[in-house]
Amino acid sequence: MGVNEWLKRRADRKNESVAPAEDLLRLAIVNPVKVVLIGKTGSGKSSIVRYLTGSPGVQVGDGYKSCTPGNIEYGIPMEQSLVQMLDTRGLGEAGYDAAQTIDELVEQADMVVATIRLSDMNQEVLLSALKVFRSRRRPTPVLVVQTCIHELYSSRNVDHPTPYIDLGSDIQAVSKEYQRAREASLYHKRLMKAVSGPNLTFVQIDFTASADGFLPADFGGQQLCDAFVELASQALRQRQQGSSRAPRPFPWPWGRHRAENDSSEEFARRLRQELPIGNRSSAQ
Amino acid sequence: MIWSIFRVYWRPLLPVLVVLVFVGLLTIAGFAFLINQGWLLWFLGLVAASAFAVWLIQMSPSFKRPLPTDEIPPPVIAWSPLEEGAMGEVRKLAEKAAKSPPRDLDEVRGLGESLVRTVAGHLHPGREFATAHFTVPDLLVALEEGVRDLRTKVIEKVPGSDVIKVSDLQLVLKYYRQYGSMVKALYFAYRAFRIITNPAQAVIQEASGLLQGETLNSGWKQVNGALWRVLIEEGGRLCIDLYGGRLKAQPGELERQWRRSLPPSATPLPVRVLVVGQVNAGKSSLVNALLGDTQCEVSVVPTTTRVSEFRVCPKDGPDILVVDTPGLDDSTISVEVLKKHAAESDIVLWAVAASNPARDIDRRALQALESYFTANPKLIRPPILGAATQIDRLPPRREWSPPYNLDFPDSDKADSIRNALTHVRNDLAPHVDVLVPICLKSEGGSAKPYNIEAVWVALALMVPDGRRAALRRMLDNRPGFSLSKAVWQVWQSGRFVGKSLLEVRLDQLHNDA
Repeated sequence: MGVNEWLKRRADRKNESVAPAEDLLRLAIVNPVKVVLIGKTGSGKSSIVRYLTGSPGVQVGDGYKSCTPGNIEYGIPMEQSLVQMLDTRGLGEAGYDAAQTIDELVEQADMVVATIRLSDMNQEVLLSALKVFRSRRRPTPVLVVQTCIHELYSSRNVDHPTPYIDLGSDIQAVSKEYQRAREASLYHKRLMKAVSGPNLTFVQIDFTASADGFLPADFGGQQLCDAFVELASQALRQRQQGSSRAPRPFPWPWGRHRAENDSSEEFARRLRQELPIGNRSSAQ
Repeated sequence: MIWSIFRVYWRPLLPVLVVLVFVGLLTIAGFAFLINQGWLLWFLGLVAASAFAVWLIQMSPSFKRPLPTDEIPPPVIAWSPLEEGAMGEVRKLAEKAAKSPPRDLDEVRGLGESLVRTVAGHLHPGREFATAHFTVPDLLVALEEGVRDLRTKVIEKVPGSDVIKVSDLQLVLKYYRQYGSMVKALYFAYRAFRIITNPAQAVIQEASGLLQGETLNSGWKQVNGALWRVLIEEGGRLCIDLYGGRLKAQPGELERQWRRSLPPSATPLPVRVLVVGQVNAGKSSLVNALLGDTQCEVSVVPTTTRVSEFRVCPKDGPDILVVDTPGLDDSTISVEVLKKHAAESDIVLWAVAASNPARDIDRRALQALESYFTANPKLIRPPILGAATQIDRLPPRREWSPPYNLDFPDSDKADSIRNALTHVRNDLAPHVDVLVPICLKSEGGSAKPYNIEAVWVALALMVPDGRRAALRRMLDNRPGFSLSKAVWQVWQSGRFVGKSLLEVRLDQLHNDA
């Protein structure tokens, strides 16, 4: 989305007359839930943004090189956004020190989506970033998305495991792939112990290109959307409760912040409709 | 003494002596003629003038260029930058000594002392008793070496040194002590007498004597200076070996020690290959592939928590030591471990996942390593070979049908591999010398790791020359694997991305093989 387009959108929104019935919608439009994506470079932040927004314009890397040079914003939906997603530059890129960027993001974020490659056990840099978010007075809700499950498969020809990975109960009778993915997930969960607490959810996905030949190409998409909606609602609720200490508006102040009613259920319903699992017409 | 020389060399000297007798007679006759004709004064004047001319020429700066000296042969084991620095200091000292050679024994002693101080001070700066920083065996070896060198040099450079006895020299010295002063007195008396009887002739003679003396002196000074330069440089080299602890590392000596400390079947000086990389970059798989055996546990969660060594002992030929390290992470401990082991290794094999762009950890570790070796010039930085692992995970992810031509990519996969390698190379530049793409995942345990031969080839090319032959012999002894064949295969299939680097040394290897 270009700057001009965005400015136009902002002007449109200002001119809008808000009917009382549209109160809820206005709430999100006036001050969308801000979701910040962090994770190591190549761990799939942009893929998730692309999937959730359904926008083909999101640049996605090949997984072996960094593709997002700086912070980029996307709205869900594009117009009158309920959720504003902020894609960021990947951590751990050679020669990139993210400390300052993280400090800036902490002020803005209502919620964090943290991406981890399931095969990457070096998560010190992500962990230290998450610690900053979680050490706030109200720990920011964090959705940990573990990506690239296929990298753990013992062979290139096996398919995604069924049923979907369950971290809670230890099922022995399922495939080797399932066991390996589960083992790695649990290892990450142990790594994340330092930031554990309420509103920390793990979900495993594997988004591949159609040329890669994995089916489905959006493995774990359902679970991702469910967890995303759940945590975004949590984030909204948290913000309403803590309205005395309202977060500073997103870099540019649009509209006046107002005390809101608990409208998270309605928000979740509306948001769900906008995601690929809802009845959005064209899922990319 | 003269008699003893004559006794040895009389055969070749006889014709010369006979001729000299007649030439001498001619001189007398010539002088008689000059006196008879009254031309003696003119003759002496001519001698004086030519002596003066030669002296003038020798005084000119272009003539005063130092004599060419023999090149100092390179040391047995490569010098570290610090030792090179010490040699530079020694050269300066040698230059100074060449300009003003010592005139007596005290000055010689002073020169020797300053040489020792220079070297010791440079190699062990700030250490107390730096000049005594060696063990007794070291010193003895140094003496042994030095004396052996001196003996050969003396025989080569000083004619007659193998026949002249010290007793002969003592005799000469005795006569000089006894009669030297008398001879000088007589000569002085003669000169005084000459001045009184024939002042004009005496003045010319005195002047010519002075000039002749001077010209001879300056020539001698140059030869003398060159000799001192060689002496100081040789001595400096010996001192560096002594204070650098290199005499301990005499290859033969070390070899013998290794032999003694190992079981009789083991052979000396294994090639140490240090395997480094991030957690899960595939270090353990790489070690297994190098060993051709499953010795390291390979798992999805980190398993290697400490340094472990694997020794490959072929029947004949030296061992190869593959050292597996714990995965690099953000902690400083892992970098410290890395530094320590890198200093002891012949080559560092750096595993980096081509499919994971998060290479800041690698980069920082490489930088730390580089600055460590810069700060410790005593240590020699081993060459670093990069192994880009997990290339099968690059998109398209399910395709894997090697070999791939990376120089002229003809498929999406080959394109991805090539691009990924470029990124890896950029991220790790300039620390990693060569980068080899590999895939270690074995399909069902039967398929061989892809391109591991290229790793062997690069290893063989990158280890120091002395070890290369050893490594190659060892490799050729592996059943079903010939390095020269592998070189050819890698070369033919164009699978090697560092091909341009390979080209330089390939001919050489082929010639050896």
